[in-house]
Amino acid sequence: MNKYFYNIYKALYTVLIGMRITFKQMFQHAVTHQYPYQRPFEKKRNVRDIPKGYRGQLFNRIEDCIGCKKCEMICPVDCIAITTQKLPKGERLWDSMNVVHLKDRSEVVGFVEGDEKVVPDTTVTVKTRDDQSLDIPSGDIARIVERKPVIFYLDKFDIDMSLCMYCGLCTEVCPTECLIMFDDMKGIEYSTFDRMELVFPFAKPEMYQNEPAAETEATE
Amino acid sequence: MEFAGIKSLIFYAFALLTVASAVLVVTVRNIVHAAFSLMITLFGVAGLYVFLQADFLAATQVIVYVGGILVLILFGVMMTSGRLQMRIQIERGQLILGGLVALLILLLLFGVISNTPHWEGIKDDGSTLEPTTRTIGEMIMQGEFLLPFEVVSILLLVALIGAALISRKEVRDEE
Amino acid sequence: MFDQIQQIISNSPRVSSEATGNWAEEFARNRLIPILEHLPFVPAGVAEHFPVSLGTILVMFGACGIFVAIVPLIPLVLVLAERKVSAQIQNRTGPMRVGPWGTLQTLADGVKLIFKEDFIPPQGDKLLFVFAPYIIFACSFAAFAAIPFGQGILISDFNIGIFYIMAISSVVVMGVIMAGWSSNSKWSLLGALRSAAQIVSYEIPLGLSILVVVMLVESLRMQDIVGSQSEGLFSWLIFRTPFTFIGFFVFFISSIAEVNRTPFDLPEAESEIVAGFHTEYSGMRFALFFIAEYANMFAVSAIAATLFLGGWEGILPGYDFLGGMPGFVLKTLFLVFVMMWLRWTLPRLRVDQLMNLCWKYLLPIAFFNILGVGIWGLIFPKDSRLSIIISMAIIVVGIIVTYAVAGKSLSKRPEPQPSSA
Repeated sequence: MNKYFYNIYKALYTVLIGMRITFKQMFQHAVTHQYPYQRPFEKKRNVRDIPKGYRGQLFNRIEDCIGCKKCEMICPVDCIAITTQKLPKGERLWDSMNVVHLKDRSEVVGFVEGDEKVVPDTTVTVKTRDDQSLDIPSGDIARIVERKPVIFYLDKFDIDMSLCMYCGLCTEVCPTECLIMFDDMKGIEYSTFDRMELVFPFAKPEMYQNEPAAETEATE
Repeated sequence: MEFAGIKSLIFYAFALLTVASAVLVVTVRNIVHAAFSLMITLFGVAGLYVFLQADFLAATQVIVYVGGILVLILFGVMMTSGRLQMRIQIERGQLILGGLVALLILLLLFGVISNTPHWEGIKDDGSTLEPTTRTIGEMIMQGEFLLPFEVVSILLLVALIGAALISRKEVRDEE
Repeated sequence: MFDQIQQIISNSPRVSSEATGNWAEEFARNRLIPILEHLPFVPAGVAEHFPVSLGTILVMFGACGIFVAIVPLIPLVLVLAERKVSAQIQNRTGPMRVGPWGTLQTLADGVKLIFKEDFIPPQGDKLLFVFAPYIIFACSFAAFAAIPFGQGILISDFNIGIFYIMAISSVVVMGVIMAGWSSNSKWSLLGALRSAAQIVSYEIPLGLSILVVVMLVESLRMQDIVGSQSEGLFSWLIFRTPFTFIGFFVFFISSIAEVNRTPFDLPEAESEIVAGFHTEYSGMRFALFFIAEYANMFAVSAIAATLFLGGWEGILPGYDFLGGMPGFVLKTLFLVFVMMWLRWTLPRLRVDQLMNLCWKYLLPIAFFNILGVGIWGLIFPKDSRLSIIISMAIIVVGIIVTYAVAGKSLSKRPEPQPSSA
């Protein structure tokens, strides 16, 4: 008999305790972030440490692309579409840039003056595209990618990032290393509301407008 | 059939509802449909009770019959529905005999109704419904229906105990 | 400002407590037919010979039309409120995209449900399948006809007001069984029968706690019940005797079970029995079930507020503070909020625990209440300040004593001993 009343009391008491807990929870701030509009997690410094070599969004430095179509051939899901026009024989537009890989896994992209070999105990001067000159001691250099002549007009260079599977094979075979995968914040959040916006067109027809000047630079 | 205003109209609507669903109860093939037509019939009867100035009885009819007894009937029908479609073959002779019995009962009912004193049609003079709850309560608890009320409640108690006794689990003493 | 709104609303069919004549007929006779004379395109002579009965029918249909237009908005708001309240309890935000702060979410859901395929199980019973949501919907809404929202604001002041509401709530069982049977699925049938058993069982403590109130008020009419609570906060029926205090909780728990809410939502829970009796319903039919459930929630909360918390009467005896329709809606919404609060606090009861609670705990407590109120009515035949003071004292002392005694025995439980080898 006692147990009967004890049960009643226990039921009511525990229900009230539960209700108090739930009520207190009502006044806690909601932890939901309204994602595309509020990104408070980016302010935390330890949240977005992206490791080097991370395979993010693909990017092509189209001025350096020599139109060899190796990336298109090796892509397992056929997400790259390239259309080129060959220049007449013997002509070339310009040279692609050197990519200097340093031992701390960073790169410098620019023209190496002089020889493209790494000679120990010298300083290599790199002239970047925005006319800065950098002197790098050769002890810091891991390797240098050679210049190659650009002999194709690139009409179309589309990468459909909705198909891309981020295997990185296209970046491995690119001879001028113009096709890279971002390994920082630029390369991880590019969701769109329309699927067609994920087809990134990298070809820029306006880079051929100064073509006569480029030719004279090439023959220089 | 005189049209004495809105009350007659509603009365005839309820009467039609009751009779039509009662006909459906006995004629429809699917037994579950018949049970649900019975629900409509009982609702109609509750409406007719209101016209007889018995408001408490109307609500009780709905609670007890529709909400209790019909639920029980439905449980029974659904649990034991071996043959949902009742295709009963009715012979001609049985039909005539049944019709005769129904006619006799109809005549009997007409006789009873026309011999009832104080019977009047539906008054449509805007008279209000007096509450009957207090009258029923006084008659049951203080009036001449006290003994039948107690007897009926004891009967229900016996039925309840009997049902609980029959359906409980056997408690065997483990040695 | 509330008074003005109340005046505007209650200038339509008004029920006086003295004579309960047919308001529709009076409205038709006094307002509608004279208006006909002023309409431009009506030929002369129509107004005199216009039959009052036809006018009555038109007025009744009009009132039903207004009713049907306004009352389904309540579940719409409640669905969104439930989602927001449950989100707040769970530390998230609920729907935020559709409309400002997610307010148009229910509309969007309704539109989506309209576009869904109307699937009727082919082997099932088509007629019953179609009718079941209508019955549940109709009965859930018919209960609104007897709930007084304000001084003269109710559709019909029955002499058996509260009894009518009980009667209409009993018909919901038939709709549930219809829905489960016609879905032609074992799970639906099982869920429907369980739900029917639950609803039918919990109607008994519900009715008995209503009986406690009716014993004190000595009338079944809703306006009488509210009128007897007109002297301020302490004349509310919940405080009038300690037995109605307990009766309020019995009523509230039973009504949560009646509307199939957690912790009693075994028949329709999402992770049990695949949503029970409304598994096979999709699109607008499912929306009808949903709307009916939330309307039922609102209706039983409204009834609890009317019976125990003073209905549309205010807190202070003289002034109309927190009274009238806004006060009533506030009390009802508070009870609805408590129902939602309980949903996210308590785990679900198993069906045998449910039945155990009803028949072994709520029912004896309800009977004890009736006995208590009967004795109380003998001791204090007329409600006076003395009786209210004594009842409040008993309530407060009872709570304190229960807490002290049972709390002590809670803390005196023996420590679990390691079993000796």
